[in-house]
Amino acid sequence: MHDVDRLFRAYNEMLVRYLTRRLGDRDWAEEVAQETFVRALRQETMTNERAWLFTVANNLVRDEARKDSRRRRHLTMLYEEEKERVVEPEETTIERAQDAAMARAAVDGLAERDRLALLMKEEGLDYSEIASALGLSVGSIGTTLSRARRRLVEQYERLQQEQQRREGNAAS
Amino acid sequence: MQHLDEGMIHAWLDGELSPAEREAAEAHLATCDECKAAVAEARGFVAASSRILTALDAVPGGVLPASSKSSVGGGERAPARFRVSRAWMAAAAVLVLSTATIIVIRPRGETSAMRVADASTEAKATEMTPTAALKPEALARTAPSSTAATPVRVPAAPTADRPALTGKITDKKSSREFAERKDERKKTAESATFSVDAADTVTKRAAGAGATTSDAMAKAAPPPPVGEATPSVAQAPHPATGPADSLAKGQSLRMGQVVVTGQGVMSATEKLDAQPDTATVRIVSRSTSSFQGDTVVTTEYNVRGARIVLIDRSTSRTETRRAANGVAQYPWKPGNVAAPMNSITWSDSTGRTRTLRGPVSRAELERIRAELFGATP
Repeated sequence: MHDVDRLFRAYNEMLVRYLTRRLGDRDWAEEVAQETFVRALRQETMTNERAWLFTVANNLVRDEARKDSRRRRHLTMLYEEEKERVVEPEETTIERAQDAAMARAAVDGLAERDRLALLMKEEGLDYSEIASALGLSVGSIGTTLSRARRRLVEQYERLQQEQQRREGNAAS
Repeated sequence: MQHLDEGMIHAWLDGELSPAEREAAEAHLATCDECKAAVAEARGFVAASSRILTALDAVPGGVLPASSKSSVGGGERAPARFRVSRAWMAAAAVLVLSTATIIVIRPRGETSAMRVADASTEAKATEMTPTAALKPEALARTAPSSTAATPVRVPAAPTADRPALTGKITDKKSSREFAERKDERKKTAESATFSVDAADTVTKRAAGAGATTSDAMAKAAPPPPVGEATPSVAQAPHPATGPADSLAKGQSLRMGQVVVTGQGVMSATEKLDAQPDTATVRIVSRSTSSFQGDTVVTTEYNVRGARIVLIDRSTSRTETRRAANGVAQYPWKPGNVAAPMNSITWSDSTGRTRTLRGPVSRAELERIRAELFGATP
């Protein structure tokens, strides 16, 4: 039995950000993160908490896991506490929203494995944790990440150029 | 040593090589310009991809159109039970609106409207003492009962006095404006227009704004019991509102309290001055606000004992139906014991969008609509 309060406080923010980036929906991300902590309650042993949580979250997204409302109530309360603490992004401009839409499209264009590896790396997971969460060998993560980063940037730049071309057309 | 492959370079940049690997890689890099260039390029990719991923955070929850959501994650789709909370966002957004109503109506002695009100009823006006801000769960409890099943998507059409979308719109900003406007009202009592600016794209933020306004809600006393109909009629500081005049003169009406605020232009077709059966339909309050560039007139009626709220927007919008139902079914938010609220939304020939909601059946709402606007609006 784990100290789920501690796990939640340590990893919720990270997990929600990862899932939000992955899913493009904060609400959904929060639900999956909560379900992940519900699963953590039942887990006897975890050799690596962070890798375990990300693995479970990944599986939950895939499986559209069932819910456990009784245990979730407690987590809802924790979540409400946490929400008061979380700092909201500074501001949303139209430019930033466009930027986000392009980023979304570029991220969605990646192969699933590449996308997940990249998003987990971004949350600070190391290669062995990523390998464990994705069922890959540690030796392959460098290659996976290099491919993911290159493709992400290339796709994003391509979208940006398209956007500029459209704006140019609209202006003329 | 042969050239470093891209995976090795990224692993090196990520600090993931073993000491022996790192030593070998660095020794090679010291002598190989080609690999140095590859490292520079890889650094660029690392930084750029990190920046792109950060840009994803600009999107709040609950605002992505369904089409983009279904494309996420190569076929990953949100199951229905994951989506219900959207209605909560909607409810919170409505709370902003309905809170606006309460604030405009309640702070006795604070608004210009109240200043001109019957002095005898205002003699008892007391200072609003701030109470502890409501916690979000309290807000959650409030939302279903007061705002459930109410469409809130409103268009961002500009009005004469307010630009619609100013480019930078945040929940913080709107909250701050909200607060500033409250202060303005206290200080000058000049502006009775209540305004909540929020971009269509930041519905999620409305939840934040809602949380902020919950403090104001806590300060506001509960609405007056409708039974105690005191003949107090406050007139708006902006006398251009025709129906308000009619209301003020309508001595035959039994009204609890009518406060008309703001500069909202009311439709000439509105039949408030020809209230049908005043014993069954009575106005409790009315306020005008601006929401996303739209003029919104919120009127609270007492219809045969039930609180019915009419939300009247200055432009037509079919999407207002989007968030209508489902709030009460949200499975595990605390305090989820909402009274069954219903609402009907329609657009009339003048291009306005009206919503009636209350804890009565839809058929009853249709009857009330007929009473207020005639059989065919």
